[in-house]
Amino acid sequence: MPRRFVTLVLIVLLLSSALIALAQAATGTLEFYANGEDFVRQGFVSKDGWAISFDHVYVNLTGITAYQSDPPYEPADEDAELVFDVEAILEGSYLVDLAEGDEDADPLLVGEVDAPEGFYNALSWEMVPVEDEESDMDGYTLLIIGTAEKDGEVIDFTLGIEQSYTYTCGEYVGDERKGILEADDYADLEMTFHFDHVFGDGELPPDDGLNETAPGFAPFAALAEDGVLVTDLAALEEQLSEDDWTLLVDILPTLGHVGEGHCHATLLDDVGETAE
Amino acid sequence: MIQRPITVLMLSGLVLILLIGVTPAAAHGVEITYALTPVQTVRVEVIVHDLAGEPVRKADVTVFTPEVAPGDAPAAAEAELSPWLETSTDRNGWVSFVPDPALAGSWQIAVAVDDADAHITLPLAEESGLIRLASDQGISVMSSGLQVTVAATPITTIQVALHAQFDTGEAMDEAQVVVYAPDNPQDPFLTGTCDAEGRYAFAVDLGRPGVWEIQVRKAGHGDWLKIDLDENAIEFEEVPVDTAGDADSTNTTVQTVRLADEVARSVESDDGLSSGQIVLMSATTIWGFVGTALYFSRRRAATRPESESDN
Repeated sequence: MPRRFVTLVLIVLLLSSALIALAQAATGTLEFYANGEDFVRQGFVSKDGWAISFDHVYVNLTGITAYQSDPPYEPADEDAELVFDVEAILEGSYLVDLAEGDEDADPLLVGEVDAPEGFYNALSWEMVPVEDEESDMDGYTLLIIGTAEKDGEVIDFTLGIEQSYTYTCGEYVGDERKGILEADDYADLEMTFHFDHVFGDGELPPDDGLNETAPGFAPFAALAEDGVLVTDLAALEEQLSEDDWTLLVDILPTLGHVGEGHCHATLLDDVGETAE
Repeated sequence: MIQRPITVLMLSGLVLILLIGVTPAAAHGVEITYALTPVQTVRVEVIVHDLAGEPVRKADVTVFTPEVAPGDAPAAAEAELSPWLETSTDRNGWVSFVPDPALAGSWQIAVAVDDADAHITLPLAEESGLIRLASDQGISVMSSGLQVTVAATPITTIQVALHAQFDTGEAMDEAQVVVYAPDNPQDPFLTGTCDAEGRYAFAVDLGRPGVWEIQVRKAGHGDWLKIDLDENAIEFEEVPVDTAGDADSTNTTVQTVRLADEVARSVESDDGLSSGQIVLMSATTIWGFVGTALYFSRRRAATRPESESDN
């Protein structure tokens, strides 16, 4: 009898382990994408008539985290706090070229994590400087390399952005609903970057809200020498007019979106503390 | 004095509550205001069969408001006029919708699947503020390859009338609207388009309580509006109705709430099991199995001597 009892207990433990495994298996795979949209992949005409194409748009991402926020995080509400029950963190830093691929390329898969099932209706990430002295990205969170052309004038430009930002966003807004993760399934979230906010959109009227707040490309073109412009924020603060500088620093925090949904941006200083 | 109890009962449920919520504006943001109004309307059911009588699943059903002239649904579809609703039939060939009660007139329904299509005019008449099917009979249309039956059942529901604009004050005309019912966050309840003033209205299905989620977007800007029809301080108020059924006295209460305070907190969230719950559940299960094993072991031990003595 003791042997039979031991056998029974072992079977019980085996079944229990299986049940526990089943209970813990309520996870799926959450994929994080970065998207510079067609503006970056295909190029576009700025609000002031410069046809811009991009060779590379490097962005350095870290702290990428999805949340099951409750109440749903509303970034437009200045008083809103991100309160969440579950978070899924993509560990590490990722240097992504948003211009990678051809003009019809899909958004770039940054990484994926196993995550508990549920509705991930909020997303945050940081843009921080690369620390690699051998890299062209050293010291920059964002590096935009491209060509602009207008009336036969061609400018090869490189714009470096040193400023760090934290973007905290609500639910994705777009053609499809994202972030609903079921067990043993896949769901995705997207970090979207709107570069038309910086250069404006020539297809929109000049008095469109987007164009009124965008610096455009003309202020940068005016700084080019022999068809070449290599500059960064530190230099631009000295080079740009006060009005253009204000437009630029005001608009850069609005780069980050979730699809067409807006995010709350926080500026970080070099040591990672909240500056504003 | 009450003469028609059923009518009075229905009209007593026809309370008027106006709720206005505002999503806070963001830089380059979107502002959505909305009003909720209980209304008497109809639920329209469309059933599509092939000519052999088999239900047709995944037939495209496109609905146009009375702004599209009767018989013009095909032309409207070809001209890519914005439909009020785009949906498809389920595996029973069935789909239903609740038309905007403010828009009495001839609604147009276009049904298409593969090479077959059909077009139906749905006459919805207004009478004493109520909307109903103008004909007492349902409508049945047979066309090339399809048989479409349309019926309209009176219901009381809530109309959501939203107004979307950019924070500059510019109307989000022709903005895309996608509505998700509380019990199905994956598949749209309906999709539609704002009018030239950025307005859109639809009626919810009160049989699906909870948080209704509405996405409005245009030209790279958009936002979500979330309306909790369980907890949104909707107070149904009995409205005195005279014997003539005069509904003019329904202008009773106007109530204003902030979206962030009253709505946003109630979105459903599937948290799964916490680790504590898993441990407790596992312990309970293990104890159940162990207990069962012990029970049978004791029982077998107790009965064995008798079996042996039998031999």
